[in-house]
Amino acid sequence: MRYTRYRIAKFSYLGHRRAKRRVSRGTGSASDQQDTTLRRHVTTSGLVVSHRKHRRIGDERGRSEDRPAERERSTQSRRIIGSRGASDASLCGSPGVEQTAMNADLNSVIVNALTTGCTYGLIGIGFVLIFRATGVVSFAQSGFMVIGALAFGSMINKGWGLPTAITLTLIFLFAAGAVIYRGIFARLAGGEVFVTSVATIGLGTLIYAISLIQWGPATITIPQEFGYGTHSILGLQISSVSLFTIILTAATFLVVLLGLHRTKLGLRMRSVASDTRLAAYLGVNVVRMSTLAWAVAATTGGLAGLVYLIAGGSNPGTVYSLGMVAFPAILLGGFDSVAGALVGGILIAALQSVISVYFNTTYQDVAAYVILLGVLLLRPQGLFGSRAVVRI
Amino acid sequence: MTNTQMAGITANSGTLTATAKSSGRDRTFLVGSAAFVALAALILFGGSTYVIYTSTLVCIYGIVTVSQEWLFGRAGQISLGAAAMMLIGAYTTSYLSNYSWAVFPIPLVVALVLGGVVGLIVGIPALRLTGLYLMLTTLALQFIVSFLGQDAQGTAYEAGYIVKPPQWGSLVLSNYRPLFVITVVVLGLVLLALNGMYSGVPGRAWAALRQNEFGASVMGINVTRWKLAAYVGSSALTAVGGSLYAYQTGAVGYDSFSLDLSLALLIMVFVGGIGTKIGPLIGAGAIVILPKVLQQLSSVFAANVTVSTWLNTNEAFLSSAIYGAALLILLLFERDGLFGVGRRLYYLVIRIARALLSLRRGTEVS
Repeated sequence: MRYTRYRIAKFSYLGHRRAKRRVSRGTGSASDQQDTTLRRHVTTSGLVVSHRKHRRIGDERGRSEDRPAERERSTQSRRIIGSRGASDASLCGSPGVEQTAMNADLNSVIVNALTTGCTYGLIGIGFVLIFRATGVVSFAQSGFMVIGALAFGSMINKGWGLPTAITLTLIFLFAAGAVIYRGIFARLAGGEVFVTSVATIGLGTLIYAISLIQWGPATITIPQEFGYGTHSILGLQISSVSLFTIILTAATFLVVLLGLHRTKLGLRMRSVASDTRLAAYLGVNVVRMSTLAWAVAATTGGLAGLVYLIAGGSNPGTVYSLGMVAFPAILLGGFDSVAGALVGGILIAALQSVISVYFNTTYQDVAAYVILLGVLLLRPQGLFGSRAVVRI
Repeated sequence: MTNTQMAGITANSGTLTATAKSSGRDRTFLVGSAAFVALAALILFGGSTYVIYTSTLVCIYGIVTVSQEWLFGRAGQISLGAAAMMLIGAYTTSYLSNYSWAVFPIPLVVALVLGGVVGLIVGIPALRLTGLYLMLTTLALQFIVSFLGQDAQGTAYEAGYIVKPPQWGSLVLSNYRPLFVITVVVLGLVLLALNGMYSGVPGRAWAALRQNEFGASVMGINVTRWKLAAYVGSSALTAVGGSLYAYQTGAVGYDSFSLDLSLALLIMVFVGGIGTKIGPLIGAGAIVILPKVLQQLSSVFAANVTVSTWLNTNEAFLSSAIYGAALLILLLFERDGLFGVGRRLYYLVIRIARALLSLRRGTEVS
C-alpha cells in the first residue's frame, strides 16, 4: 500500500514538474516549492481535467497531440499502479532459480512449461489488448497465429533468412491487423459486444481457411536455423529454440509493458481501456488506439505462431487449436491484464507439461479446460484481472 | 453505428407490429405452416432418395440451428458447445439402441432430458455471470465432452459406435422416408413450441433481457433464471438433433462433433439471421448444401484440370472461407442475415412490380 502511494505521488510529481516547466517557459512565473505543489497538483489536476472536458465536449475525435499527455497520465496514474504490481512480479520471477540439480523429467517439465507458456503469453497479449481497448473477446488470435506461422514458414523455405522472414511477417501482420480493424471492427463498434465477438469467430475461420488455401494444410518443416544444441542455464538444460522462444517472449512483453506504462502512446491506450468515452472527451483518438491494439494483437499472435513453428515445425491444424487452448491461460491470468496472460500461460503450461510427462499426454488439453471451469466458478476475473471484468 | 441503430429500430418495430396486428401474424403463421407441410409433402412424395436424405439432414441441422437461435437471438447468449450437445444426444441414442425396451421415441426423450440436465449443470455457474462467460464455459464443455468421447471410444470403437436401426414391427424407421417424416415432425413441433413461446411471456422476457439485463431485472424478470431456461431448452433440443443425426448416419464418433461443427453452426445461425424464425433454417440449408454445391462446381469445371483439382483440394477450406466471409459481410451490411437479404429482395421486387404496373396504367390512360 505504501509502495502504491509512493508510485502515485512520484508519477503525479513527475507529470506536474513537466507541466510546470511548460508553464514557466510560457509565462515565466512558477513556484518551485515542490513539496507543496505535489499536493496541490493532485487536487488541481481534477479541476483542470474537468475544464478540458467542458471545453472539448462533443469533440470526440479531438486531436491528442495538442495537449500535455502528462495531465492524462496523472488522471490515469491510479490505474497504472494496479497492473504495475502484477507486471513487475511476472517479469522479475525467473522460474527455475531454485532448481540446482534435477533429473531429466523435471528439466523437460520446466522447459516445456516455459516454452509453451511463452507461446500462450504471446497469444494472450493480443487478446488482452483487444479486450481492453474494444471490449471484444477475440477468437481471431488463432487465425493470426496460423497466418504468421505459414507466412514465416514459406518465407524461410524460400531462403530469405531468419531476420528478414520474421520482420516481414510481423510487418505484414501489423498492417493486416490495422486494416481488419478499420475495415470491419471499427464499423461494428457500438453494436452489441456479443455480435462483434461472433464476428471475430468468422474472421478467425476466414483467415484460417485463406491461409490453408494459400499455403496448404501440410506439415511445415523449416531448416534448422539454430541447430538444436542445448545450453545449461541455472542448472537447466535448455535447447536453443526454447531459449530463443523465451528471450523473444520476454523481449515482447518488455516492449509491450514498457510501451503501455512508460510512453504517451501507452498512456492513451490505457486511458481508452479504462474509460473509452472519457478518453474521447479528453482528446484521445479512440479509433486510432483501437487500431493500434488490433495491429499489435495481430503481430503478437503471428509471433506466437512463428515461435511455435520454429520450436517444432508443425501443421496448421495444431497451431490453430493451440490458439483455442490458450483461452484457459488467458482467463486464469485475467482478461484485462497483459502480464497476467504470461503468468497464466506459464501456470497452465506447467500443469500441462506435468501431466504430459508424469501421466498421459492426451489429458493435457482437457486439463487446461477443467482449470478454466474451475477459474470460472471460483474467480471469474482471473488472478490479475479487475473485478469489473465480471460484468462485460 | 447506423447499422446497429437501424437493426434495433427494425427489431423494435417488428415486435410492436407483431403485438399490434395479431391477425396479420396469424395469417403469416398459417401461410408459413402450410408452406412447411406442402414442401415436406413435395419432398416426401416427389423427391429421389438423395433429395430425401439431404432434406433429412437439413431438417436435423434445422432443429439444432433453431434451438441455437433461441439462445443467440432471443436470450442474447453465445454458446460454442452445440456439437458437444449433439454428441451427448448421439451417444445416448447409440447406447439405448442396444436395448429392446427402448423403442423409438424413448431414446429421443432420454436425449432431450440428458441434454437439458447437462445444460443445467453447465449453465448454472456460467449464467450467474453477465456477458460472454457462457461462451468460454461452453468452449470448455466442447473440449471436455469431445475428449471424454475420444477416451470412451478408444481404439476399440475407433470408427464410432453403431446405432441399431429403430423399428416399429417390420417398419425400419431409419430408412429414408420414415426418418424424413420423423425429422420433419420433430422440427415442426419444435418450431410450433418456439413460436408459441416467442409470442408469449417468455419471448418478451428474453427480448427484455437481451436488450438490457439490468433493465430487465428492474422490470421484475429473473435474469439468471430466464437465461438458464433458454440455455437448458436449447441444449435439450440440440441433443434431440444429435439423436436424430445418429439415426441417420447409423454410427457415431466423437470426431464428427468437433469444435469446427460448433463454430460452423454458430456462424450459420448468424448468417441465416438471428432474431428471425426462418433465418436459422436458411442457415441449416446452407451448411448442408454449400459443400455439395462446391462438389458440383468442381465437376462443372472438369474440363479445366487446374481449376477442378484446385477446387477438389481446397473444397473444405473454401466452404469455411465462404462461411467466414459471409458472416462478416452480413454482420456489416445486413444484421438479419440471409433472411434480411431475402426480405430486401422481396420488397425490391414488389416495388419494381408496382412501378411497372403504374407505368403501364399511366400509358393506358394517356
